[in-house]
Amino acid sequence: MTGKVVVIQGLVKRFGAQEILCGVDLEVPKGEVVVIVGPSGSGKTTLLRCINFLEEYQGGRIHVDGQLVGYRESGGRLVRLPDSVIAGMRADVGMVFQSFNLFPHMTALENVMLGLTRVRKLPPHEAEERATSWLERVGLEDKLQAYPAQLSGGQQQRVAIARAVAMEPKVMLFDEATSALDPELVGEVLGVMENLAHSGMTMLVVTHEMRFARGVGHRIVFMDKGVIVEQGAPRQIFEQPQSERLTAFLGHFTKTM
Amino acid sequence: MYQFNWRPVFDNFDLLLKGLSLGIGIAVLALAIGSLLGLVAAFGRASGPRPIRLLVAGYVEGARNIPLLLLIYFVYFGLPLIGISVLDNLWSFVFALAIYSGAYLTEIFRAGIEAVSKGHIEAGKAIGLNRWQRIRFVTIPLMFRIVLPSLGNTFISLFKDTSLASAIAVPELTYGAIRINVNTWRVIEVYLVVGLLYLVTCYAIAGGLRLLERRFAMIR
Amino acid sequence: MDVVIASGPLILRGLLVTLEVSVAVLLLGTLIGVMGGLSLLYGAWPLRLIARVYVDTMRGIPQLVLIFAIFYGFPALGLQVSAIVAGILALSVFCGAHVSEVIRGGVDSIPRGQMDAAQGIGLNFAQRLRYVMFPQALGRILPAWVNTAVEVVKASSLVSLVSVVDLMMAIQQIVGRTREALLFYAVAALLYFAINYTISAIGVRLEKRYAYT
Repeated sequence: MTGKVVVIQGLVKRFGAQEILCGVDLEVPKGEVVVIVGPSGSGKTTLLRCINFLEEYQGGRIHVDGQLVGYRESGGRLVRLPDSVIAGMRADVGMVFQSFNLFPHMTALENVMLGLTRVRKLPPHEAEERATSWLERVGLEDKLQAYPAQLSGGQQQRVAIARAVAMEPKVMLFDEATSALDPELVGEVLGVMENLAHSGMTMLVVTHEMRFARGVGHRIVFMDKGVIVEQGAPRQIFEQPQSERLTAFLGHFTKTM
Repeated sequence: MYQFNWRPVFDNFDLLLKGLSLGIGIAVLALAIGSLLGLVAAFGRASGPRPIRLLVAGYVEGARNIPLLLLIYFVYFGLPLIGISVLDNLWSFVFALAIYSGAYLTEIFRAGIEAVSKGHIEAGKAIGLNRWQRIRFVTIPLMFRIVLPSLGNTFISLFKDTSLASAIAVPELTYGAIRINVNTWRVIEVYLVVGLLYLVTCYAIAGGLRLLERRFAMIR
Repeated sequence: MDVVIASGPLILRGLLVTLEVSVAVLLLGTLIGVMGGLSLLYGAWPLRLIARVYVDTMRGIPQLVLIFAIFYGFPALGLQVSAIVAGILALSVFCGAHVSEVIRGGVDSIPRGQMDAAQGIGLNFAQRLRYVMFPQALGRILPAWVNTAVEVVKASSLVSLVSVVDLMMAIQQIVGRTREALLFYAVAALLYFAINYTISAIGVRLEKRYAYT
């Protein structure tokens, strides 16, 4: 497990009687950018949300940086960890949501600083410095005091990325980060994500943006109906799909590619 | 034809004004204490164990279905008869009004808590905030902004309810009216002026509220 | 317990007075409220203005002040009123303002499209009101009106402050005599609670029957 930031073994997740994830295995080494694609309902978002335990899972194991996520082993059974422990683990996993979820009652700077002061326990001036620097890196140095309501969708999402990345997580999860954006704003966010990838961040990205997947991803994972159907290097996935399901799925995108 | 004589009212105007400010002060106190009660009860009802939830439900239903006057009498006349004679008439009233408003505020806060978007709470989880931190930095600030209009209306209601304090001789505005009448019997003038004072104050509060809403209310 | 039984008749008489006052206020208030509501919705602008001023004024003054004003004020103007009549009058004026707003709100909340469609199939004004507007408005007005009823029962206790012997006053007299505060305040609370809870329960039933949306 050394060198692997995320290790998922036989992951099973059920919503009531329905099985959403039916045994998923995935290993992500440090610095790799994994892009997860697939039709809606394939479980890709649920997979992401299990990694930072926004969703519980019923079977299998998830380890982030060697630590079992959400549970502790007790005689082969999974016992749920207390909320404060889970909170601590979440600090090391950054997540960017489709609907941004910026705290509307705080400025951009305050949004980024909250985790730094309250979770990382940094002194205020250091938190402010780090937050400011990250907001500058995503191109929002003149919007530090702006409230989310005063920002465009693309700007809000960039603040959200800064908020997650400033925590210096071991891995960043992107849950359809650009799906809720107007088309002309998608580019600025993808640009930030690309820069992040080039700087060596380990990333798991769920997206429909195939150009991004092809250009920035190191590995593409195709999911359907709760399992990983096929995975590989972008070139191989897009030009030589092995499975029928992947071929059918890619067929929807040939026009935009 | 009724002969208007405004002198007695205006001679005693300071009495009325003092009563008015006392009324506002009482309303503020009752709102503050009631909010504390309401917050605790709302969280208790939302995420507490069953006995707590039943207790809160009992409190809310009980206090909202009985007259405020009964609660006032119970606190002021009733408590001393069972040995609790710590509160004078003013504090009895504040206490009674706080309990009464707490029941309404519990429901207001409960709806507000439910209205806080799940996404914001998840964002709090995602950056590693623990349960208490999520409540303190995300849920409560957002909830207050959502319920601000309801809170304001409750405050105006509480201010009007302070008129009942006159029943136990607390010197607020209505009691002031009674006192002036006892001495001078210019009832029409007195009640016209007192009515106007209440009216103007209520509308001033409502106006201030609108300003507050503009600054703080949620654009979600 | 004998104390309770001994006071029984007094409590019952007080309860009756409370119910009388509440029913009278509700009837009168609803009448005023319907007129007020219709004025707000469909009246010519002078009428609408009067209704608006009426509703907004009642929102800004306490009910007790109006009760006192009528009880002490009318005699000063030469109109003799008994305490109970003064109380009913004042509370009805308030109830009317409440009900006006309830009706206005209920009708206003019906989507514009409904009236357009009704006009589209050629219904005249009265028909539109009767077949399209009112049935739908009723579903929204009823629960709010039931709330008003509960408020009226609670407000009826204010007449005790002008010495009407309603339930509140009866209990006060008994407590004054027997010093059994806890017991009798509890009895009062139970009675008021029972009345209001019943009203609310009926309201929930009615709401279910008339909720179309």
